Amino acid sequence: MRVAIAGKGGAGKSVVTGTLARVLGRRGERVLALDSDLLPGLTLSLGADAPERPPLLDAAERGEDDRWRLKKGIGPVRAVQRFSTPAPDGVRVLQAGKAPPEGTQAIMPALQAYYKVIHRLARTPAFGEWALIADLPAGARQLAYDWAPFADTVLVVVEPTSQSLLTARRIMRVAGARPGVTVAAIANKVKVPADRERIETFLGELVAASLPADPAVAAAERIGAAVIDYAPRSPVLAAIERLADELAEDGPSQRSRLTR
Amino acid sequence: MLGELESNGRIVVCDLEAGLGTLLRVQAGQLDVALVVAQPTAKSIEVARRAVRIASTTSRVMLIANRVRSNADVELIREGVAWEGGDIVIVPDDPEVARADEEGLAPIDAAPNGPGVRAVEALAALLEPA
Amino acid sequence: MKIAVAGKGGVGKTTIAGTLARTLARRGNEVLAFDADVNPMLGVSLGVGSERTEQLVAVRQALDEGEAEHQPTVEGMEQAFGAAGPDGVWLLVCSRIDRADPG
Repeated sequence: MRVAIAGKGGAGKSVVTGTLARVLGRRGERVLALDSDLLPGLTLSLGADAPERPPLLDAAERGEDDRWRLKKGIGPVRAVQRFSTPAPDGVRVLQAGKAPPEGTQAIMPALQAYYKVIHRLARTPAFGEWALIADLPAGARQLAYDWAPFADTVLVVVEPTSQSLLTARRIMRVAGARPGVTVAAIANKVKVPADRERIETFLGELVAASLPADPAVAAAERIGAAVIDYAPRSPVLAAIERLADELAEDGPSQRSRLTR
Repeated sequence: MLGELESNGRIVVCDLEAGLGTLLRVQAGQLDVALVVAQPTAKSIEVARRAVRIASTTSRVMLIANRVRSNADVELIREGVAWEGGDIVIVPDDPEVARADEEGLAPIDAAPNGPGVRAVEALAALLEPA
Repeated sequence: MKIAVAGKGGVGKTTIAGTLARTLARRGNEVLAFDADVNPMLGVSLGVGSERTEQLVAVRQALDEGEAEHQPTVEGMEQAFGAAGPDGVWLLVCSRIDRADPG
């Protein structure tokens, strides 16, 4: 499973990514959660501790040409072994790094290392059986997709609001242009059936999952807790369990299964 | 660029990219006021905390507590941001503003008399050049 | 006066920026609303409408993809990538700005 989660800021990307990763971890899957956001978010949704400094800072060095490169002997396998951090349920997290006040220059080695690692993940046999779940930066920027080159599925999280719908449409156009990538929408914060219908009508297709608006999820967000820990009986969790079932099914036409 | 857009007393209101990217590139003199917006969630408070620290080095900063429902929400934001800059601008949660957003309408058109828009009017009065 | 609105995605930055621009304009100020977000939405909160906002995004995208002319002056840029909004606010959608002078 190689999934990237996209959407407008605030739509619920981190909640979906973090909860999906934990659900898969509980099922005994080997899960690597990939956090390319320069701001904290996914670690909270995973219920994980945030490292003090980006672990990947130690993975890179400057070469003779003054460009950053992975240190000798460090490829995707070593990088994950040494520089990923633990989340509950056996999930490992690899993060690019969080922007400090002085600017991203300070963490540039980590960003460079992360970028190189994720671009080699898809063809690293050791990760063949792993579930790779990536949280993409907010919005529709083309470059965002360079942060999940291994993904064969892009899930776009959409709220039933005008701006979220416009953004989702922009993202789905860009994501859909990549060959071999299945793109599907996830409706979030759905209050009434008409919300879901509005999303499906606007995007012109069925959603792969519909997550209801849940005050328990809002409460989890307020304090920065993972939904799976704070609100284990939430219908949002049940919906993500069903999504995990769908994603796990092997075979062709995943898109039609996701959107039936 | 912002400097070139400002002319003859014109006010430029700039909606920045989400996150810290642009703020990190702003230099002294390029901005008069940075309005840092947080809502009562841990994630947005964390971003606001960083945004305040970064922006404070180059411009005046005002903290906006948005979608607030209670004093507890305001305090959650004040403490999480570690705000020491005096008053926080409070924009209360306003279902009519939320509905305007949902429908793709301007809140000032769809909900002009509600607490949300009123709070932004008060903010405008604070910001206006004397 | 230059005001910027910052924060995590989804906190209400754009809603506040758009409403603030309209409010300042109604109080008699000349206002330029500048959408520097790579995912431009300010036009909607300003009252320009979703369709017009999407049109402006398309223009901006054409520039990014090299299909449109770069404008050599600030005034030219404002015209090419802008639209008149309610209350006399001028909306500019331009997140990646080239230098105004060709040099």
